[in-house]
Amino acid sequence: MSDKAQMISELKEIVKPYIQDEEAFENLHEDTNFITDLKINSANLIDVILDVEDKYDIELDNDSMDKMLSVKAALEVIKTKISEK
Amino acid sequence: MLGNDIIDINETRLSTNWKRPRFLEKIFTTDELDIISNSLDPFTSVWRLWSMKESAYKVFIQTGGNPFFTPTKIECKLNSRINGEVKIDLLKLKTSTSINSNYIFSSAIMSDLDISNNIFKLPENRNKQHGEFIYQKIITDFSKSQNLNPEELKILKTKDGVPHIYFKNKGLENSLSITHHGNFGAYSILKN
Repeated sequence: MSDKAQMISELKEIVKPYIQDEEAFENLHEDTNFITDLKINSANLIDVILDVEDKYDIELDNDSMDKMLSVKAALEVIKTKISEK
Repeated sequence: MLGNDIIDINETRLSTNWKRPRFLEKIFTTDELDIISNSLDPFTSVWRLWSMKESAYKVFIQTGGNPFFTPTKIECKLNSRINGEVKIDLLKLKTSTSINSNYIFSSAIMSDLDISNNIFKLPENRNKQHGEFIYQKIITDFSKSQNLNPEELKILKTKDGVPHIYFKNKGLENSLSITHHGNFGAYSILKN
C-alpha cells in the first residue's frame, strides 16, 4: 500500500464511529467532505480532530482545524504537521 | 438574518463525551471555560454555549462570511438564563436560548428582529427523511400563515447551505434557519 492509501485507510478508521452516512463512508475518497458527505456532526468533528492528534502525536492549531473539512485537506494538514515534528 | 441550533439532550449524552481531555479547550475561550467550571450544571452550560456558537455561525455564513471550523473564534457572553451575546469577527449577535429536559435550543439575530421559533419532535425511525419532513412542515405552516398555495412553495438551499423559501420560483425575503438533532427539529423564521 502507498503512503497515501495507508493514510486514507487510517483516517477511515478514525472517522468510522462518527459517520452518519454509510454509503458515503463505504465510497470514501479524497474529495469526501466530513460534514456534507459523511454527515459527521460538528461536535464529533472535534472528536475526529482529537483522534487525529492522538494517532499521529501532533497538535492541530486553529489554522489547521479550519482546513480539516475533507479527506484530502486532512491528509495535507497531517503530512505538514508530521514533517514539522 | 437569523440562525438557530437545537441539541437533543439524550442524543448528545450518547454521542459526545464532553469530558474527554482537550475537548473543551478546542471549543471554548478562557472566559467560556470559566463559565463552565463555575457552573452548577456544566453539561448544560457546555451545550448551551455550543448551541449559541452554532446558531451565530449560521448568521455569519448568511452574511457572506467564509466557512471556518475554529469554535474558539466565536466568543459568547451570557447575560441571563435566556439571553446572550456572540461575537464572530466584526459581527455582534444577540442570542436567546430555551432549555428543558429534552433539548437546548438557541437562536441568534443581528438586531432586534421579531422572529418565530417552531420546535417539534421528529417522526421516529426515519432518520434520512428528517430534512424533508421539516421542509414539508415549513411549507404547510407558511402557506397557512401567508395564505399561499403550498403547491407553489418550495425550499431550496444556496451552495453555502442557507435555506430559502421560494414562491412561484421567486425567492422570498423571509429569512429562515433550520436545525435538527436526534429526535428534535426546529425552524426559525423572520416575522413579516
